[in-house]
Amino acid sequence: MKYIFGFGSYYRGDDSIGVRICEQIILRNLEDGFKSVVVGNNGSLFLSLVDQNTHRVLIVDSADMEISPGEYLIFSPDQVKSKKLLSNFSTHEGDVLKLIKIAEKIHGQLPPIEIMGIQPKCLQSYQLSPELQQNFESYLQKAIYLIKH
Amino acid sequence: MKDININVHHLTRVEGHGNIVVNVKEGKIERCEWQVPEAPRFFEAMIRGRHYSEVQRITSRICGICSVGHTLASLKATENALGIKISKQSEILRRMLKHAENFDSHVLHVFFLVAPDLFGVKSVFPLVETNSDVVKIALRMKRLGHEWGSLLAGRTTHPIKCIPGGWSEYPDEEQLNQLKKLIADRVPDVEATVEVLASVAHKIPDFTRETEYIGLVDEEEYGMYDGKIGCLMPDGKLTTYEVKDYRSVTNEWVSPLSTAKYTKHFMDSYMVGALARININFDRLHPQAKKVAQALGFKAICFNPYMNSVAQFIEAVHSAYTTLDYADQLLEMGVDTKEKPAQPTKFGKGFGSTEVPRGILFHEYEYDKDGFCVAGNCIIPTNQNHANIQKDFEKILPEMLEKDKSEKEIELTMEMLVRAYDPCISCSAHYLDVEFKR
Repeated sequence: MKYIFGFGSYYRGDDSIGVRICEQIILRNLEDGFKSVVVGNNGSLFLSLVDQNTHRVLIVDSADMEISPGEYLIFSPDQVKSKKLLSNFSTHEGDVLKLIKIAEKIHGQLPPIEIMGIQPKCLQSYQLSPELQQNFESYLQKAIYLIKH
Repeated sequence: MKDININVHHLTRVEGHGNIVVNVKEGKIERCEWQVPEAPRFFEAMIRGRHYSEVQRITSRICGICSVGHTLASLKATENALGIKISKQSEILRRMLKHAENFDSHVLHVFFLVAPDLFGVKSVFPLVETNSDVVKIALRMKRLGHEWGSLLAGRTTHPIKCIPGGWSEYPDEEQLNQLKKLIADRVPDVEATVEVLASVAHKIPDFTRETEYIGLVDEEEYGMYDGKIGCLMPDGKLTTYEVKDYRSVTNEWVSPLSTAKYTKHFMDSYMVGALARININFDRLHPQAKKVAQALGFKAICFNPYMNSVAQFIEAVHSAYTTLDYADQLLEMGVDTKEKPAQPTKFGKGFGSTEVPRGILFHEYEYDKDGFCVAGNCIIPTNQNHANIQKDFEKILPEMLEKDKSEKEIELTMEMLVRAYDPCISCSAHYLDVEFKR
């Protein structure tokens, strides 16, 4: 099985880009040889689905990479290191890179994982910023292309 | 006579933020408080002016874990207000979806949030090293919960196929058989979980406090998707109310300890959730779930709030087997995948209630003649449990002081008590913050 996982929160503006893309893939019945999964902040869902029987994984999430808002980069987990500081207070808080490490510990060798990181502009909103909104269709098509090829 | 100062800001392994504050001076309790500092979120204001077709999509976002329950309670309130009657197959599918959420959430709570206390570790992650077989069982069962909900409703979190009047798309025979297979394949994991729980059951604190239990009572099945409001007193007396009279049960009031409202009914506090449901509905449990209850030594009426986690697992088993029965019923009936959603016949005020994993949930809306929402009220389960947690604190703390427990033991026991209620205090966010390796 191939998966696109969307991480993020609806209530943090551009942080919701991953969940919105995965949601649209499901709503428009665009799953074709892969599954689109709205993870949100539920990291245990990611851990429960990724295992040795998974062929390929694409994670779509907002990522602060110090590039222009709306631009995106495709990278593998081992190309980056996390700068994120966790308070460890809440089950809603998480770090995707740490989650991948835990999945490796549980399941051993994981399938190829790519991250489509989209630079956010604003996290203090209930909607996407114009920069991300105007590129939404291209993100969606790119995500589908990446998982299929 | 000792001094004890506990300040747990914020408690881990619960949804949202809550604090435990205890001050004991020379053996005398000065403070013993369960505090909720979360900010209000104003969902009732957000839905005003919205068309009935989008209200359940908004209120679903009250909670990611209980989003199915919020969707269904919202739809029921809307349909009640607009005189919409759904078909039998739509109702059965909603019941099956409700069980998917129940299973998914209970697995998450029992394995990921409670088990670490029973295994003596800080979180689920050390268990990856020491008890990887248990973690793998948990993940397989979590996966089932996700696939079960997704198969029926497009996705488990914030389901997209449930709409006013029915469903936007119905599962076909092949999908129902696929669901049956998915559930049947997990039976060995259920059996293994019974053994795991039985092996650590002695670590569940032995504490009892008689309280009132409130949950749905359904003529069709174990109270979960529908029914009247049942209020069970410690002597076993059950009083029922129509859902429209929910305010007579909840009686919200404001405590200075909490930004969330408290509730009370016949007693100063009451409990909702799996333990309340199972205490009220034990006779309606699926026979397979009753077997698990027996294996785990569970007997109703149980007054130990720590047993809520055991009740959750028993319910998870009930949800799995009940869904198999519903799938068979649908296959026998034959699913009409072309069915169109039922349409409104009136406008006005409506009420809806379902059980969510953490307890009974109420939604109430009023719509104008064009189908736009003019007022709403939602009372979630965790609010209804806050007062009961506080009352438990007030009983258990003196008991532990009497037994000369250490500050560390008291802190852990009180943390475990809050976790046992599986509170869902609020929602937060995350995003990636990375630096490329040079």
